[in-house]
Amino acid sequence: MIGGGWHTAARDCHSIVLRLSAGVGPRQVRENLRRAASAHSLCRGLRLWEVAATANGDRTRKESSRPIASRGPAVRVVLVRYPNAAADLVLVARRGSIARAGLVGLANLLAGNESAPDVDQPDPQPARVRWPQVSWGLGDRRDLGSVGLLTVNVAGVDEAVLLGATALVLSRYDVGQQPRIATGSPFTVAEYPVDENATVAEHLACLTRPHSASMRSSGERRGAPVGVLFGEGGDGYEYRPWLAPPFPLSFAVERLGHDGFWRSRCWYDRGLVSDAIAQRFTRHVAHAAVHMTKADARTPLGDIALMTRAEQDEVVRSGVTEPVGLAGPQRIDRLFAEVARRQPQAPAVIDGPSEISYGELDALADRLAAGLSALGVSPGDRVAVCLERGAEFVAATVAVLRLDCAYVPMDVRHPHDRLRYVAADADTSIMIVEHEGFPVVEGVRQVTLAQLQTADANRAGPVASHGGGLPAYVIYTSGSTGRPKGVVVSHANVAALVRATAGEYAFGPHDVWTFFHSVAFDFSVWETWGCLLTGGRLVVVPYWVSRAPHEFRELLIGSGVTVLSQTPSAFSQLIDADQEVPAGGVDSVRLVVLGGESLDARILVPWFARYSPAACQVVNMFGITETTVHVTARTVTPRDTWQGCRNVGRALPGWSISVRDERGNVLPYGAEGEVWVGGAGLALGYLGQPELTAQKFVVDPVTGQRLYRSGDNGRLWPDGSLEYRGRRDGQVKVRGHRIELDEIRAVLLDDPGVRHAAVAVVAGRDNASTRIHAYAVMTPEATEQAVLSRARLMLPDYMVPASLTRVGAIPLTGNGKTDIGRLPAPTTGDRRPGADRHPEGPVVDEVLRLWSRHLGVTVGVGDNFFTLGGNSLLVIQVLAELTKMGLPKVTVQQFYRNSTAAQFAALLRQLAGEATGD
Amino acid sequence: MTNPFDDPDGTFLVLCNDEDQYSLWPAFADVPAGWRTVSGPGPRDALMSFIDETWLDMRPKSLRDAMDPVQHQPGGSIG
Repeated sequence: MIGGGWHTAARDCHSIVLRLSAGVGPRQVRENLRRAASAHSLCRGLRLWEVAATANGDRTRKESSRPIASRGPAVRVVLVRYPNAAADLVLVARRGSIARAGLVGLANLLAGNESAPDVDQPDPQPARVRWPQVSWGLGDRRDLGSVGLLTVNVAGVDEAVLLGATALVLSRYDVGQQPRIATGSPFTVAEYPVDENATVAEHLACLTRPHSASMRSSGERRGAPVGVLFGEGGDGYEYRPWLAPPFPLSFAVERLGHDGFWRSRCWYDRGLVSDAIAQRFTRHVAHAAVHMTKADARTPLGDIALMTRAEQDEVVRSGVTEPVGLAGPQRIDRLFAEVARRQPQAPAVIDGPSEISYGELDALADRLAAGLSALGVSPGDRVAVCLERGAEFVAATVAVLRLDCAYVPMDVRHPHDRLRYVAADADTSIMIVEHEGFPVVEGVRQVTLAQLQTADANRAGPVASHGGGLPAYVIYTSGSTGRPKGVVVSHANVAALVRATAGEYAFGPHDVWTFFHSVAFDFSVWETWGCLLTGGRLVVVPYWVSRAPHEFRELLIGSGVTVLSQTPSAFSQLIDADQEVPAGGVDSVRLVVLGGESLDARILVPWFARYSPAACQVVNMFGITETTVHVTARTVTPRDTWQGCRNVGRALPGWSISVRDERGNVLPYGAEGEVWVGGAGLALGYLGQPELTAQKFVVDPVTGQRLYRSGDNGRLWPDGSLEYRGRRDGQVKVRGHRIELDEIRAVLLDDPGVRHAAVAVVAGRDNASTRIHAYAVMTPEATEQAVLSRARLMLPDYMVPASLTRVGAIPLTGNGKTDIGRLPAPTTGDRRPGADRHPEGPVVDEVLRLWSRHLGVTVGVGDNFFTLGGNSLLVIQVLAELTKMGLPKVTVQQFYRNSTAAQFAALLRQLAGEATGD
Repeated sequence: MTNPFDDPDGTFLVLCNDEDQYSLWPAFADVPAGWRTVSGPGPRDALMSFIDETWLDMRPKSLRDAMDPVQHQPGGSIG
């Protein structure tokens, strides 16, 4: 809600401007005012202000938009005199003191037009109506209070159609909400349900039915984004029903004459509704009203378009980014061979102390290809590659590609059941493994790298002969059914991704990339081919280092990494680790690419405090496996961090984004709908699942192209950029209310005491017992109670978490996303400040926190350090931190002997006792 | 309202483009340029079975022609 006296006064005031007839001068107006004062008590004590102005008329506009104070005279009377002897009479009044008819009458009286004013009749005080969120308005909060005004004329329609069209347009912009519109004087808010299947006639009939009282009151409590005030047009004067919009979008619709000709003026607050959206909304109301009037009354509302075909095309075009650099090979293996030819001596993959050059990697790939070929692998086959990330993994994939086959990357750490499922589903003929017999997959021939190189490899493998349309890899993603599905991505898809980004981010031989992510997560496709097809050095991040932020930080510094790809969750942990070491930052990193999950830019505050965006660019990419890793890119600025920006930028060159309603219609800018992605990254489909492919990869009714229905919600901005709005299926319902968990999380993160947060929904026996639980990593001084109290200020009751549990860290999945499944059971019940302290005392509490932070999981009292993934490196880190905290010195040996949290705390207590001689 | 694309009770078409790629399409809309109706209108389940039985080789036609220049019978699935 907008506060401030000016706004309140401006909303409650109205004004009139009347051009004086020639010959009517100030003296006459003063005389008329004296007469009015004797006849009407309201006019007593009014004075006439006279101002001389330059010719452009600005002064009239200014005087007629300036509110009067809430106390003092009820009317301000100003005579604005222009050099050519013309003069405007401007009256500004509080509506609570004088109604429109009275104001018009008084103005006419003062101008000598001899009207009989109904001056003493006040307008009922307009009801105060809350301003709801208008997220589709795309306004800029910094512009709050700046008022925009638009005028549109509509011919041949009537009042009901205008109202019906407004409800329809609002329902399409504010998707999923019942349209609430304020009408009348004083304003009353009512809901106007829109059923797209209803006919135009049914829709209009609905409007005239009185709304139930409950509907009305619930609407009023929740406010209205739009207000519509109908009135008759003024003859010879300009009437302004308010000086500031009482609603985010406030329409004053005046009938001009009697042939269905209307002038609609729309005032809006730029802090909530941008000029571009206000213009389109206003135009769409007019367009829909005319369409509804002309259409057969039996036409379903769903067929009433808001936009002309030309405007639709314009919106679609704005989401397309033209491709760059189409020339050159479209195959991964050829692009790789080109680099290897160009710089055979240059290091390609660095794995700890070992280093392999492009030439050596190329030769290894050739040997492996020959080995595979000797085993009877033939074009079109799929070959599983189940290796640790490293040079051998890369060589094996290049070898597979050279045989015109597709590789199926498998993570050696995935559960065997999953590996078995993937190997079988992908119908792989052969699996390249680290050690024979691991993993156990029946019916698939396993071969180690050593065996491949000793196989009958005398003859070189056949030279790949086909183009970029050939499948390059199959990556499995979780399906909504719980059964992973294989996404088939072509060489050309990957080549397009590298071309789309190589120029923009100037990738080249000077770059050092990390190979951080699981080979089964397509973020690693980006890391490996983004690096190796542009001649960079790929630094392998061992699994344990990828889970230990301090170690990882050391690796970044030691290897001089320049291009770092991270999920926001993992990057957030790296930032924390980096904060703890004030000396020597990760200064070599010149580009951070964030992807894999949605970014809350606030996690970057400490990052930007240490690293200038001029030296290190942070780019957020929205992406989907089915569209080849990434779709959009946006450089994140320090400003985004405090604005909570969710914009993920424009499509990459060659990609396209479009936001559609449920019927596949193009939605206007600002309206939330499903993101449909097209262009160069579009995968071939789901392996062996034609029916699923045909459902998700659909035809664009507008362009006829093949598009992928992403299942993500978003809204398109007028500059063609996408604002990410969460998963369509991530939406939860608690007690019938539609809830975005990300919204709750964002509110928690707003609290200065909260560093990381996660929100989970626990379904109960029935809807009524479904609960939202929050988890947060908090500063020591923050309390759960205080954080929840603050959240209550921002969230409606049904969105306030039932519990908030303090955790040492938010657990992450193997892919670096929040792992909801590993969050602890929620802490329930009322918690007094300090109640989060462990009953066994502060030492246990300290140990739990310390271990949790280092292990990246929430540790319980009975948990063993090593079963939770602790290793010798982490032991050393924990011990170092203990010393820093002033706790007793513990040896590595003692640590191994006391490896549960409870034992470890007891050890600390014992050692502390010894030290103080208790 | 169920999304018409996912409506189990909806009426659909099966469309096919020049690359022999199939798409399940709600029947209410016009068939976009470049695509032809190969089955339907009909119920969703029946058309999904149709796609399952018909789209045996999921490689785009241009790729299929390049890889198997002689024989044109369906063989294998994608890849």
